Formats: sequence, C-alpha cells, structure tokens
Amino acid sequence: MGLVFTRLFSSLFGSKEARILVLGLDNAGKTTILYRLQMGEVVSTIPTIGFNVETVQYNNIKFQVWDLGGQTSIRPYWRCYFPNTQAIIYVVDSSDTDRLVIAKEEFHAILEEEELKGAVVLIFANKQDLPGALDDAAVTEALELHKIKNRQWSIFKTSAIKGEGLFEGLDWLSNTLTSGGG
Amino acid sequence: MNGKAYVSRELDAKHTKILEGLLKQPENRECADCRNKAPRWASVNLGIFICMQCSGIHRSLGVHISKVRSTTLDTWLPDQVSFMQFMGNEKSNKHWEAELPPNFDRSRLGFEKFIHAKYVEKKWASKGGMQAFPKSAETICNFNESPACGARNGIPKNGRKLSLEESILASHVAQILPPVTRSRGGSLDMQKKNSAPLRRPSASVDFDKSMGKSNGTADLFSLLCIGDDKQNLKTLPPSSWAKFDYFSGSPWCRCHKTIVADDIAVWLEH
Repeated sequence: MGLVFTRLFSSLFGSKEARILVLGLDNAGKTTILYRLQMGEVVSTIPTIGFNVETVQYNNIKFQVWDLGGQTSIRPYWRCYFPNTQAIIYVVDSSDTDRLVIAKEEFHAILEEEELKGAVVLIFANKQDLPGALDDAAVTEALELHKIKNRQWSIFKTSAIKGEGLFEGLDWLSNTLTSGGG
Repeated sequence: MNGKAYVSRELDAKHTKILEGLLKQPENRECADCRNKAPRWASVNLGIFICMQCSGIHRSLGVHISKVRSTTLDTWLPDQVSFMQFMGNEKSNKHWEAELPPNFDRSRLGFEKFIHAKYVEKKWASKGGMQAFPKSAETICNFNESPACGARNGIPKNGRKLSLEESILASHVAQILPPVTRSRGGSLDMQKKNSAPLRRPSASVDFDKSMGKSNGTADLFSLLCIGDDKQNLKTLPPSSWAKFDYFSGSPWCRCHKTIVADDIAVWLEH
C-alpha cells in the first residue's frame, strides 16, 4: 500500500526514478564521477572490484547510479546489471589514446545487448584536464559514435576532477528521460 | 586490453605464471612505494609492483605518468610482461629513489604526496638516467631472451624491415641515449650478444636521420623486444563477454603490442 502511494505521489508531482549504469574501461574515472555527482567532491579512489551504487537527485529525477568495476576480467559481469536500465553513462579516459580502440569495442558490444536496447547513452569524454586529452569530436570519431542507430545519445567533455561537464550531461539525460527516452 | 590485437588464453595463462613468479621475488614482495606486503597491482610503464592503495594514487596521476593494471584481474600484453621482467621494483627504485635519504619517512609525507614527488616531480630520481645503470644494455639483452619475446615467427630481428612504431622507438632511443653510447658500435655486451648490425630500414627517414652513421643505437634497438607477430594473431568479435563465454568458450583476449616500445622510451627519458 505504501509503495502504491509513493508511486502515485511520484507520478502526481513529477518525481521520476531512473536506473543508470556507469561503464567504461578501468581507470576511466567512473567512481570519481559517481561521487562528484553525489557528494560534489573529489574523492580518493582505489580500483573498484565489484560496484558502487548511490542515489543522485537531480532535476526532479532520482537517479540510481551504479558504478561497475572496469578491469578486464570483471567486465563480463557488467551484463548482470543490464536489466531495467534506462541509461548508460559511458566514461572514456580521453588521454588514454592507446586504449581507445578497446574502449570503442566494449562500447559497441554494450549497444548490441538486447537488454539495453531501450537505454539512452551519455558519453563522457573524461579527463579533459590531462595533457593530450582528445576533445569530444575526436572521441566521437574514435568511438565511431556515428554508427549508433535507433538510440538517443550525446557526448560531453568532462573533467571529474574540476567538476566540468558532468551536470551538463545530467541535464541532457534528465531532459531525454522525461521526454520519453529510455 | 588495448584492442589492437589478441593473445591466446594459453599465453594469458603463461603471463599469469610469469607474473606470479615475479611477485615471489624478494624485491617485488613489497609495494615499490609504500613497502606494504604482497602487492598485486602494477604500473606497466614504470615496471613496478604496487599495492592497491598506491595503485589508486598512481591512477590519479594520469596515463602519461603511470599505467596501472591488476596482476590478477587484467589481461596482460606480452611486452608489458617482458617489461616487468626487465624492470621490477629494485631496479626502478634505484632510479626513482636514487637521491632519497636512507632513513626518509615516506609515510610522514603521505603517500599521495610521496608518489607525486617521486614520479611527477622526479624529486629523488637519479640525475644520470640510463648512465646510472651501466649494465642496462646487458639487461635489455636478457630481457630480449625472455620467453615472451625474442625473434618471433622465425623472422630474424636483424633482417626485417621495421614498422612505423619501431622506427619511432628507434628515433626516441637515438635521441635519449647519451652520446657516448651512440658514438660507439654498442657496448661489449651488446656486441657479444648481437654481433650482426641491424640493417636500417629503407622506409624510415627519421630513423636514418637520427641514427647518423653510427649503428650503436641500432644495436640497442634491435635488442628491444618488438614482435612482428600480427599475422599470428587471430581477431575475434569485440566482446566475447557479451555472450558470457569469456572464461569458457573464447580462447582469445585482447592485447596490444606496442606498449613496451613506448614504455622503454619513456623510461629511458627519465
């Protein structure tokens, strides 16, 4: 009964919930982004073995954000988290140009997943503060984002350390989700 | 890991064994930075084994300073493994902590600041760089003889054309090496192990320019492990995990072969 009331209340007053997965290669900056969004602070991180999950309230949307570890051998477990996901935030270390090829391959493999067919995709070209970081246009090309079909997507230049670009991305996400995407 | 090529599961298992062996060596039983026991992470371009806490700090420096991998959770490339065999904690610290006072309390500074000072500011690095390692050329010879590299596919190292990556490395090495090394025809060790001079590539202008008349760098270069093994590697659809067969079905995992060239060049720079 309580749950029904909560849902009714939410629908009346426009509060929406969304399940978001933050994915990307190891050391892309996923955990730093999660806690920058949630706490507004830069935290010291260690590699994520498993996941972190936090709730971020923004633009009248309650985002349940799952940050999953990106090491090679734990990427296969990402798919356990795919069901009921409305959006993917795919994080790329824009300065790690050596690994953009594998970042692209993992990205397009995610898009192939049946369970994520309806998910909108937000790409963060992260670590713009580092020397040699590629800009959003170069990351768009490297990830071959033009190949994305039948899906709403957008890319933002971000620096989780400086706090730049993250909420612009979340704005796009909330607008897209409230207008029916995902 | 880097998507440009793939290594077989067998090779991956071999890498795991080699890494386990390296981690058992006394010099690698402690984190290269904080001295905590049993490190299980590594910086593949610095060639050191570090603990998880320090790996977090290394990650925050950016990949232009340190490229962190897990010895247990990541797939390694042949050249990365070879570089770990070549380097290791002791040799690396001989360089990066050359000027560090013997009883320096590294924990008092805080490891974040310590690691930053050590690798970014190069506060305690040996001034001479490669000169601080008179046996480095010999070590590179040994490094070349490691099972993970060497002359692959039956192509003699000295007789083949160099790829673009290789000529870039060669020009790096030519710029970095001290003139004394460049002006002779390689050290005695090198000559012993590698008597035939490397044939210079006809395609690489930069290589010729930076080499001049000397073949000293060419000899050193030929000792570095760069396998021309593209034709032996099969490629697979991008993500075998997508079908959840990563562990069971698919015999291939990703790798990329150029790391060690960059990493040795970067290391020589310091």
